[in-house]
Order: sequence, then structure tokens, then C-alpha cells
Amino acid sequence: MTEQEISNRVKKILIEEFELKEEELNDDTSLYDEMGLDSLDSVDLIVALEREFSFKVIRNVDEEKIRAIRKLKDIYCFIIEKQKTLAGPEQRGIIDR
Amino acid sequence: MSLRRVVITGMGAISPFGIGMKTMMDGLYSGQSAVVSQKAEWEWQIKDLNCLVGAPVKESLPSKSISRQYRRTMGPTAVMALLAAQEAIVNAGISNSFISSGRTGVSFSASTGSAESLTQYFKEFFKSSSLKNISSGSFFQVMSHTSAANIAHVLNIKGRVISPDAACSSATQAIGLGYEAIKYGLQDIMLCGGSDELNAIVCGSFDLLNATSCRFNDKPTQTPRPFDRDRDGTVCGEGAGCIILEAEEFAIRRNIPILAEIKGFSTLSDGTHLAQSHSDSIVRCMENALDSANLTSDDIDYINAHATGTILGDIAEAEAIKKVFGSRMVPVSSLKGHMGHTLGASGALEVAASVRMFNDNILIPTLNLKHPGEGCEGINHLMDIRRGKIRTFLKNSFAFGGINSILVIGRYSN
Amino acid sequence: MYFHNILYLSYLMVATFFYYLLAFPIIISASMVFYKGRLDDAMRFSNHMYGSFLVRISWPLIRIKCVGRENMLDNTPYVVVVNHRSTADIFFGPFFTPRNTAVFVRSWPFKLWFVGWFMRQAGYIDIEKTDLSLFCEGEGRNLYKRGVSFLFFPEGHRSRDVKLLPFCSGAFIAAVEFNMPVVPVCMTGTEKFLSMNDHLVRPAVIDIDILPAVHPSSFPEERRAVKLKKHVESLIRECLNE
Repeated sequence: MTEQEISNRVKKILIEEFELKEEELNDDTSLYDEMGLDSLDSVDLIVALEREFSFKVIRNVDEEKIRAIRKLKDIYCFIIEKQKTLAGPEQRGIIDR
Repeated sequence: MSLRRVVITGMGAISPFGIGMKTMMDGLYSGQSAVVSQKAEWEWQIKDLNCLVGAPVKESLPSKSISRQYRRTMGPTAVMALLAAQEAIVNAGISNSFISSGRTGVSFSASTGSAESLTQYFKEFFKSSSLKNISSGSFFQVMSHTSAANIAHVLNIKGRVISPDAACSSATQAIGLGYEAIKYGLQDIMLCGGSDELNAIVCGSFDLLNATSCRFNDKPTQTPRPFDRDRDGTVCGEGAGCIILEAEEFAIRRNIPILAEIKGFSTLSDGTHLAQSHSDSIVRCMENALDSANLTSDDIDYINAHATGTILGDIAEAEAIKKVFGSRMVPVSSLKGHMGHTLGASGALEVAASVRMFNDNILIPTLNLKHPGEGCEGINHLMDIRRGKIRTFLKNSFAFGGINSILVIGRYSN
Repeated sequence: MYFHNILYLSYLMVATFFYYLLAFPIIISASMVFYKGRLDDAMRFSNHMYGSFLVRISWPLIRIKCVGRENMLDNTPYVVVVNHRSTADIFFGPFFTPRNTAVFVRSWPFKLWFVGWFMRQAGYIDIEKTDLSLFCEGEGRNLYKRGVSFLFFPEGHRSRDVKLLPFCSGAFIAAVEFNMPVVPVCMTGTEKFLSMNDHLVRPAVIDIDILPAVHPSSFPEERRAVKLKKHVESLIRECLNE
């Protein structure tokens, strides 16, 4: 999956489930300050990402990385890393492309 | 400490007739029934449901006009509660600064949290045995104090927040407790009321107890029939009612029209039966309510009955009215013939309608009451619209658990 | 077409003459009593009646289809916002505003000889010359306390191509300031009735859709007016696109 595909799917979640406007979503948009999400939203966002990208967030392992997410592009990086962790070595090459 | 007088300065309603006080009163004054068939909606949800009629809110709720940040913790119960509260606040002209001053509180109830949200919650859980896919707002939608908590959150209310969940007595109790909070100087303004959703599962609970109307599934507007000899049970409805109670001196200082005064309140338990209040316990509650208002039965000009159309419940109430009011033949009517039993909202919606009737000098009769049934005769049933000034009225509510609640409401004069 | 327009204009002028000769004295006297001597309240009521009169006597040239009247609020002042397609829009106000409504418009109508005088007497507000924050502190608060509703055309000026223009914030700042509900209204057909291309009048059906009220408190306190504005704009846009 390319970063563009990931971006499209994440934006779709933000538009459909969080009722944000497409024109407000740039890679550098801050989730909390500019998009107005809060702690309850971050819980729901994780659930939505897990569902969309078929991975599971493991509390002890992923907690720090999730706390570090501030901008939209941070979410893409998190998803890419998560998918690399789940993929075998051959497939990591495909995600990197 | 001197006890303060408590007046009503604003009202809001989401009723089976639709959105707003005006819509509700237009429906009531024109003698319409808001009861419709629920066959298509319910038959596939619950097997063997006997009652297939209900009184849903006619219009779709403008939920999207509540920002997502607030809406995510609200099921329909809390949405209706907020809409009713917003209408009431606007009518009472209360400023934002006073609402969040800490001297304004909320006393709002629902008999459960959002039934719809609860159903979705458990559907998801039973499907996956996991709570992972359940949204973070779900708990706030299903918790029993969802209406009170969401109203306080949205309106930034910092005073006391009470949520007395007492089934059909909920809203009347909520208004009564709000009255006491102001009377004893603990708060200056209270947003009081109740809300509840129509849901197949809720109707099913009444169905299990043989308390629902089942013989009019093909003639929904002919049921419920409070006090009528052909009554066969109640019909569930939904909605929300909000009454703004205010300390008298505040209302005068704000120069706001005073709609009525809460003169007294009583809430007592039957103590002997969980499902049905006996007439003696209702008599005790009525007499206690009159005492609390320093009034006697001679001062009451109208009784807005609880009367839901159940066989035993209506008889118990009629007997109690006969015992307390004797030969005075005080006019009695129930609004449940028009709107069904709106459960946690019923006390508030019926108080709001009664206060409006009281100010318009019009009394609405009981819809579908043609011939009082056995045990219900001997009281002055309103079967036609009556015009005339009334000084004071009672609002009765009796609930599962044997919880009786009665308000005494009258004209304000300083 | 020109002849018919001249005929119609003459008809309106004669009707106006008789309205102000016969009906206006009665209306203004009765409303001065009702409004306890407050001329601006009485004139707003009179303007409301006049606008309604003009439209009704123009049947069948103008046919009104109004839905959502149950969304007009009882016993409380509120802010009405409506999209703007024609100079004639203001005359349709009586179909979706309460009787005592102050209208917020740009400067140019105040300069018209007859119309301008009645607008000034009714205390309509010139948004180009009014400082909104001062207004909210002073005259606006006075009007609100007296139960006067506000009518705004938030696009600021007529849309030339029927597309909704971005909304200005004044209506929503006032709504938030006084915690007044906002009732959005969609109106179409006025651009067909009075075309801005040739300034000629044609028969038209005016569709008025009064939407449910939106309460300022439904939006978080931070940037509340902006959020309220965006939401109402989206409601009107959605209604117009249907």
C-alpha cells in the first residue's frame, strides 16, 4: 500500500466518522489544535484505523508511538510501521515502495 | 431560613406530535392522536410482541445541528433532552453567564439511558465478545443519567446535577427535586424534566407484564383509552420535556413572564407492590402533596391524571381521586390518550401541556374516553374541551416500583 | 413585457397609496397602543403587514409555497437567515419572520426616497455603518430584551448566479451574543420574479423552506459563531441543492 492510498483511506475516516471537511485535511494539519479532536476522539480514531487497516494496537507496545501522533502525517507513518511489523520480509519491500 | 417561592419561567418540548411546545399544543388542542402503527418497525425485531403501536416523535430530530463533539456522547434520549432544554432556556431568556454561574442546576431523568444505544452496544458485544469496536461515546449514551449529564456538559452548567430515574415518575420527581433545591436556597434556577425513547425492547418490557394495548394494532389512534371501559393497556411513546424553575425574586428581577408557581410536591412509595400502586398509597401521596402546598382539596380545580390505560392502574387512580376529592367532582383528564405514555418524559411533557392549558384557560379532555370503565366512574371525566379559569392543578405520576409523585401547580401572584 | 411591468408597477403604486391612506392609520394606531408607544416596534409591524399585503395582492403573478412554518418559534426572539437572490427578497420576509423583526441590510436601500424612510422609522439596521460589537452592547441588547427578532441576508449581497455566496458572520455573532436560536430559510424563485439582468418582473412561484432552529449552545464555546455560521451555511446549501 502506498502512502497516497493510506492518506486517502485515513482522510475518508476523518471525513465520514469525524465529520471533518476535506479542504481542512493537510499532512501537516494538527489533529488536536486545528482539527479539534480530543482524547475521546483519539480512542475512536484508533478503533477506526484498526478496522480499516486490519491491525491491532497493542497497549504496552504501541502506547508511546500513539502518544507521539500530532499531525496527519504522523498517522501515516504509524500505519506504515505497523504494517511492516505485521508483514513478512518479502512484503516489507512492497510497503516501502 | 425562609423558604423561597418557586416559579416556572420557560418550557420546552419534544413530543410525539413533533418538535416544540407549539407543535405539541396544536396537536393536543386539535384532539389528534400521535399513536401510529409500529408493525413494520417492530415485528421483525421481537418475536411474539403483542403490542404493535407506539407514539414516536413525528419529525426527525435535527441531531446534526448539535456539534459532533457534543453529539457523540448522546443517543436519541439525550438529543431530545437537549433540544427541549434549549427551547426552554430561550423561552425563559436566561443568559449564558447565569447558566454557567454555578447557581443553575439540572434535574433531569430518563427511565434508562438510550435504549437504541444500549441495543447497539450489546449487539456488538455479543457478536464479537469484545468491546473494541464500541465507540468511546457509547457508555455516555447508555448511562442512566445521560440526559442530565449531556445537558450540563453542553450548556456548561456548574450547579448541582440530579438524575432521579424512577420509570414513569422520573420527570415529575425531577421537577419536584428541582423545586426543593430552589425552595431551600441551594440553587436559583433548575432545568428540570425528563426524556425517553420509543424502542421495541422497552415496549416488550411492558408487554411481558401484559400492560400494553394489543387489541388496536390495526386502529392505532383508538388507543390508549385512559379510564375507558374498552381500555386494554398502555401505549409507549417518546419525547422530552423541560421546565425551567426559578426562584421568585430572580424571575421578578429579570422581568420575565411567570407562567405558574410550584406550590407543593410529594413523592412517596407504595411499599407493598413493585408493579402497581394501590389507591391508598396514591391517597397518601395526594394528601401529602396538598399539605406541602398548604392547600386542601377545595383549592384544586383540575387533575392531570397519570392514567395510562391499564386496567388496574386507572382504577386505583380513580378510586384515590374519589376518596380525596369526594363530591367536589374536580375535572380530571389524561393526556396519554393523545400522546401515549412517554415514560421518563411523561411528567414533564404533561406538566408543560397543563401549564399551557392553565394559561390559556382551556382544559383538554381525555382522548378515546367514551364510557368510563367499571371502577373508574364517579369522577368528573373531561370528555370535551372545557374553558374556564383554574387556580391550581395536580399532576399525578405513578411508576413501577410503587413510586408515586405528585406536583401541585398554581397561579402566581405576589 | 415592458408594458406589463409598467402596468404592474402602477397597480402596486395605487395599492400602496390606498394602503397608506386607509389601512396604515388604523394599523399604526393599534400597534402604537399594543407596543405601548414605541414607534419603531409599531413601524416594524406595519412594514410586516405592508410586505405581506403587496405579495398577496400580486397573486397570481406571485405564488408562494411555504413549508416548515412549524419551525417558526413561539414567544421568543430569534435570528432568521435567508439566502439572497433578488432585490425583492425583503418583501417576502413576512412569510418567514415574526411580526416584530428588525432587518439588517446594506446602505443603499436606506437612500431610496419612500422605502428608506419607512426602514429608518422601523429601526432597520445599516450593516455597513454599524459596529457590530457596539450594536450588541447597546441597541441590539435593547431590541433583544424587547423580544425583537433579527433578519439577516448573510451572503451580504445578491448572488448573481444563484450559487450561495460565503456567509458573513454578523448574524451568528449576534445569535451567540444573545443566545438566540437561528432559523435558516431557503428561498428560491425571487430571482425569476425580479430578474437582475433586465430588472423586469415575471410570474414566479416563490418556494420558501423554513428549516428547524439551530441553537448556538449546540456548538462548543471556542469559535462558536464561526461553527454556527458554517453549519447553517451547510444546511442552506443542502436545502438549495435538493
